Amino acid sequence: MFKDIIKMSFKNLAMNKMRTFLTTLGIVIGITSIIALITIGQGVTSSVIDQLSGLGGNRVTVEITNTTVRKGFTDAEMESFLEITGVDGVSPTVRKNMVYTLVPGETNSNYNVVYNSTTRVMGVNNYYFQLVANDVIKAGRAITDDDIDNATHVVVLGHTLWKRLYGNYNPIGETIKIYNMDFVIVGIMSELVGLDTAGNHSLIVPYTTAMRDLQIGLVKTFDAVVSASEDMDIVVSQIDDRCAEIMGSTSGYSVVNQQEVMDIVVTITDLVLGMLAGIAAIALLVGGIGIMNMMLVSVSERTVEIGLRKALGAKPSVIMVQFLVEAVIISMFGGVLGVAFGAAIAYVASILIGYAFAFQATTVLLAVGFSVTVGLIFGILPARKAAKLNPIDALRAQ
Amino acid sequence: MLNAKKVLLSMKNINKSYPMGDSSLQVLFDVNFEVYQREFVSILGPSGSGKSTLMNIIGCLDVASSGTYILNGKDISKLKDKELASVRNRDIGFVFQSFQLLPRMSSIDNVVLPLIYAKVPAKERKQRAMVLLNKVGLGDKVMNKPKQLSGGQQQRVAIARAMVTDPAIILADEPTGALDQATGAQIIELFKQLNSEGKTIIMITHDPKIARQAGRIVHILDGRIYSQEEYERIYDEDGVKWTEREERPTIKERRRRRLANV
Ligand SMILES: Nc1ncnc2c1ncn2[C@@H]1O[C@H](COP(=O)(O)OP(=O)(O)OP(=O)(O)O)[C@@H](O)[C@H]1O
Ligand SMILES: [Mg+2]
Repeated sequence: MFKDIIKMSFKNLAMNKMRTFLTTLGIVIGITSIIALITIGQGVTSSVIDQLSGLGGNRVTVEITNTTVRKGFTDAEMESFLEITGVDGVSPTVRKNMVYTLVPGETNSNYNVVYNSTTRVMGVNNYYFQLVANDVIKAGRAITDDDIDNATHVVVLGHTLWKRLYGNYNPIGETIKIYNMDFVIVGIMSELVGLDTAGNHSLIVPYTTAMRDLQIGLVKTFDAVVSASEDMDIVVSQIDDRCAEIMGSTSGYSVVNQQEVMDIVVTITDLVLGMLAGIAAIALLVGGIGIMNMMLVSVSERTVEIGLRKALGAKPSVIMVQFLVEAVIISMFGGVLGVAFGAAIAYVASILIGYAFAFQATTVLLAVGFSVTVGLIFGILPARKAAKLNPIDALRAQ
Repeated sequence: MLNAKKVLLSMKNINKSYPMGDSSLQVLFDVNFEVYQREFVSILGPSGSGKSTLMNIIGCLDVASSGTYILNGKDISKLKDKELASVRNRDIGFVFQSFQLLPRMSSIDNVVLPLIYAKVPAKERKQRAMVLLNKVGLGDKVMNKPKQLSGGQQQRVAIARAMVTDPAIILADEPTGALDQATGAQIIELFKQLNSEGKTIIMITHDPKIARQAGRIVHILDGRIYSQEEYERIYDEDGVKWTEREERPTIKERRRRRLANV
């Protein structure tokens, strides 16, 4: 009989297509906004956490804020931070626009003549590749610690730059000139999306090479990577001391524990998203009221029909179930559509904002469960009204 | 012979009153009434006499204020709402004055309806509905919607629906009320045929001519039930009480009055 009830419900809903559509829309809007917000929120938060934990520890950002006191750290000064217990590594980025040259015979680029141009040169170490994205190397290899130690003349091509210079050709092992020095191409990067896309247009070289041979200047800012097990307060104060020593002053620089920054960011993100989700929940509430309204209209339109069904032997519970099923069909349908739209919006947002899109099955279950609950809650009043109808009065009402 | 008949329906001292604000309005008074298996009984009474009230109680759509009502061996006064629903479904077939077919459904779907609530499997439902639609002469109209049928045909669909669960009694409230005389007569013929095949039928009407088609007439007046014999002892053929009946004046007397008036 339940099958018959479901069939009947679909028929009834199909009778008033416009009304059913508009009521469903109310639920769709509510669920769409909730799903989109939760998914975007989870994505952003987990990206932030990923960035933080990507290095297997906490990060402390050291920056020279007053360059009149000192222009920056030399590579040796920066590496001296490694002596502090708990500091596993340093992750600097130096950058400068520089001239590079492609010579036919040395490399098979898109150009048959000697080609000169300017682009950004980035000096980094292996941390850069760990940090900027997952699966960041398309071909070849990244910059290694050996490259840093030996200040080797190797270069990794950013994705956009590689496409422009070589099309789809793989030039690994060939040579290009930067600042009139030969550099061997050892790797090609995948395309970067998101916030930090500077690498796409860059020639990426070991920072030691950049500082010593390419005269790229001093390191203004770098991250010290601290192992997770360390007491951050002690490490931070030791880093601070070391800075003061180098600077010869207790001002003109800053030492920021990124963990604290991230904690604040996550707290604020959660708060904002919570508020937005609250507003979305109100949208869903309005959708639920829409269902109730529609069902009430439907009950009064079908008074005679309900009376007749009861006279012919439909138990109150059967009538109740029939109306509840109609409400649940609408809310479930709205929920499923809402999940689809919400996920689509979150996906587009993930591309625009640049975080990893992750969609959890539990979110789908939660959303559909939630909308079905809304359907049940708002369907129960009209369904009870229908179930309680007195068949004598109902049959007279025509 | 008479003792062999089985009592299908029995009402003892049934009273019904409707609450009206602080007081209440009594509509049925000590109704005692029995219907035997295979009987065709009509309940005859003028407007406002309590016919529909009685029919609602017989049909288990309503319960009496006091008294006992036993239908097909079940004590109805003790049943809950959902039990009443299943009695209506299994033991009673309703035929209404205004047919009460669902307008969006075909004849066969209308006939099938009670079987859905009886939890009969889909295939068997269609088969049983077909048999009954054929019986009422609408085998070629099974897919028609009520709008595509004449009034008489609609009432036949309703009768097929009333019969489909093979109920103990068919309960018809003014079944010819919305039909012209010829069509009404055909419906009564159908009832007679069903009755001759063994169906118990209770028909409610205010029309003595229709009522006389049944095997037995029960009168209802101001909420009280009278058998044909009791009724004839109290009322004349025009429904006027013998005791209140004014003797017809003689021609001589009438002339005297006319002159006196002038
Ligand atoms: N729900 C109710 N509440 C109060 N009074 C009612 C109710 N239903 C019926 N009555 C009263 O009971 C009396 C009998 O009504 P009922 O409908 O049974 O008459 P009836 O014989 O079917 O008349 P008709 O031939 O006009 O249909 C009437 O006086 C009516 O006003
Ligand atoms: Mg009536």
